[in-house]
Amino acid sequence: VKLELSRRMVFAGALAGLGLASAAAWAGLGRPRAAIRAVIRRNVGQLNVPVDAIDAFADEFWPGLKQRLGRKGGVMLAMLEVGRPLTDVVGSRRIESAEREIVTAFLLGSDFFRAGSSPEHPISWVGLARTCQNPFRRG
Amino acid sequence: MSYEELEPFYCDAEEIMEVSGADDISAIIPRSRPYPQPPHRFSSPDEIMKHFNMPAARARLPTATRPACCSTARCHLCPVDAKFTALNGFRDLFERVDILLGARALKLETEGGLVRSVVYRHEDRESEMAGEMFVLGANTIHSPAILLASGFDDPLIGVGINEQLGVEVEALLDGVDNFDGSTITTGVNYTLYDGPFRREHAGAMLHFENRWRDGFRLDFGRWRQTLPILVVLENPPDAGSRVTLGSDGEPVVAYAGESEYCARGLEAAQRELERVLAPLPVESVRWGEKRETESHMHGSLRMGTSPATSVVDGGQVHHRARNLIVVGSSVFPTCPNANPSLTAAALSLRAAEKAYGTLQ
Repeated sequence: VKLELSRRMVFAGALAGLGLASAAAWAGLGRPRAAIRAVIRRNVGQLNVPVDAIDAFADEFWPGLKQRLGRKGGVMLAMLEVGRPLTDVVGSRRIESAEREIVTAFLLGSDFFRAGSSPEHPISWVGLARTCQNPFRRG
Repeated sequence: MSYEELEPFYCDAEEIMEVSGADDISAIIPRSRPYPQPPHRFSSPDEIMKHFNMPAARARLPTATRPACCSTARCHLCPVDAKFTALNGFRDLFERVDILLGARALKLETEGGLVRSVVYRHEDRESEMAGEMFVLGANTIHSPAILLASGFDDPLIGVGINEQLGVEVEALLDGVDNFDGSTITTGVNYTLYDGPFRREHAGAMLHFENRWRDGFRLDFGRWRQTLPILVVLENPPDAGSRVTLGSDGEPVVAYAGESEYCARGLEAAQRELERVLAPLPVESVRWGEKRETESHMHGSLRMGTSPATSVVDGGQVHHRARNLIVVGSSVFPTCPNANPSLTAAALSLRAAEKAYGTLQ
């Protein structure tokens, strides 16, 4: 009996450790960067987007998105990273919404539109725009 | 009260708030004076729709206290202060009145049927301020709560609180880019606003939005070919909706939700929207969720001719306490489908004139 309990404890401990590790992986900096890189490449990969620009955006954008997504943040990140096949199964509308939010924030906070929207232009990350951020406004 | 009686006060309020607008809107809403500011520039979808300009208290041109709106679409707290507020619009007034910041009005003390003082809490201390005339404008929830806490026993205090229903729609466009207008909403569509149909169902205002509410489209290079629309429906007062006081003395709101009349109006809007959008190259229309709130509440201290059916009279004076004026949308007898701010401002100016004569 003593041995069985010990094995159970080891197994439970291992599972808990695995869960914690997974949770840490989802919540850590690596995962958000990977998911946001995937979203940007999938949707605007035709543009000249240096990975440094995406990572700078991800580091600035993720804290706010994480707060909005709440407890579902980890799952959402995983689905965003994998892409649409998974999203058809669970919460496709929410995933699409998050994907649109990411692409919109990235393009608006970069110099893409203000540099003339040329696909060849190497995009630089400027910062999350907060005031007078509408580059399409006509006078 | 007729529209003709209130119309000059609308113009007065527009001048104080330096509202931007186009005078051709008088085909729908008659006006006796031009707008103080020129209209905002339409977005491309609005130009195709040949819309009316949405009147706005977001400056089209710089004023003495505000810069022009730069279409940031963060109007809940304008980052450049282009939107009218009491703080940027009443600077002169602040030199002539005393304002006690951080004070909360708790109740009114009455004597002989008149209000004699207001009890308020400031820095954890309760104090009392006497006066001859009192104006209550603590929003649609707290104004009735203050009257209830004061012992006013009018049966209709708090009863019928209501708000509009807003529903978001997104139209995906083929070849037309959006977001090039000069403020957050540049066009308004009155097709479903009024008519004999309102005997059967609610009317709706359609706001054509110049902001990326739903984000850009994901189709490469067609990011701006999306049109967010907000459908706002009127929703009549329901006696089941009311403001009461909880055991802790704080207001509690019971809300019956949207009426059948409003629900039929939404069904009609869903049927009619394709026809309304016919001038635009629409690929598809996606109806979104009902919004949790429009932040436009009305009707918890309704105005009317009789104490049996209302709390204040046509001059917004309490039926019994004749030195108490109530201002704000809590006095609205019905729920409009238009934004209520200008009407609340016009009614306040009218109430002040009735009480004190023409204001200088």
